[in-house]
Amino acid sequence: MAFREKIDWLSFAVILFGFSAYFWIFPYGVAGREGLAAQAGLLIALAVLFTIVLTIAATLLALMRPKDANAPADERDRNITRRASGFAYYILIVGLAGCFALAHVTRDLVMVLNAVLAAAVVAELVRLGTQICLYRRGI
Amino acid sequence: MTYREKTTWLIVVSMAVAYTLYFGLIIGGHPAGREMFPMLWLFGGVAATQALVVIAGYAVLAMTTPKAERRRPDERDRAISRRGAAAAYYVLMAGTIATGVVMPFTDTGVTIANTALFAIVLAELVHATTMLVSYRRGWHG
Repeated sequence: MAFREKIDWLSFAVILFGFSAYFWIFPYGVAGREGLAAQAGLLIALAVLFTIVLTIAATLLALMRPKDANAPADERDRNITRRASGFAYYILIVGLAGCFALAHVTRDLVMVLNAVLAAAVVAELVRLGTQICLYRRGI
Repeated sequence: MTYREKTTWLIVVSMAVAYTLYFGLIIGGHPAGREMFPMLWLFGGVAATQALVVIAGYAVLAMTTPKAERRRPDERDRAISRRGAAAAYYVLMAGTIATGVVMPFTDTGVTIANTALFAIVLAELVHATTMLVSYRRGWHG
């Protein structure tokens, strides 16, 4: 498995588990300033956790295969990145359109912001998932 | 200039004019920058007008371009479109994070909604402009 594919798997797993935990433990009954504070606290904790886990795991992977890790992206890597990002772009647009619709239905700002966050997370998972699929299928 | 390049120009110019007007009015103190319903009316009006202009433009271009040139997108067209969308993705993701994670602590709902709208418009302009530059420079994917 190529180094870039491993990094994609790693990022996919970390984002999936991290944000599953976020949406699982979020205190949904809380609104207003308290809700925003809860959101900020959880996001800061996630950001710290992501940084630590991804840095350690990526460093270990790079130490195991230093030649792969230092190789610049070739035409295939760039093509895969473009295809996946292009696909995720439309997912994100649709997600944000849904958030606009939600914002006009509810006055709960925290719920809308969590929906925006969910749209971004789903788009990023789609991007990474598409990259993994394209590497697996060998385009 | 190819048919697809012309349609991309049409989208870029119509978006630039429509949303320069929209955000110009908001910066100028229009109530759409502070209240939800004026925002909905202004945005709805601007978006509907832009859509009508694009539909009319497509019709004119279709009538003035030979059918052979209006063929389905080929591999190069698809590659260029993906390149534009990939560039736009990062712009939109940055805008999403700014509006969904950072702005709630400094701004109110309508300002956040307008900023999110600005991020979408900016991303679409990056998408179309990247496509235009790729066509102009003869990028092949």
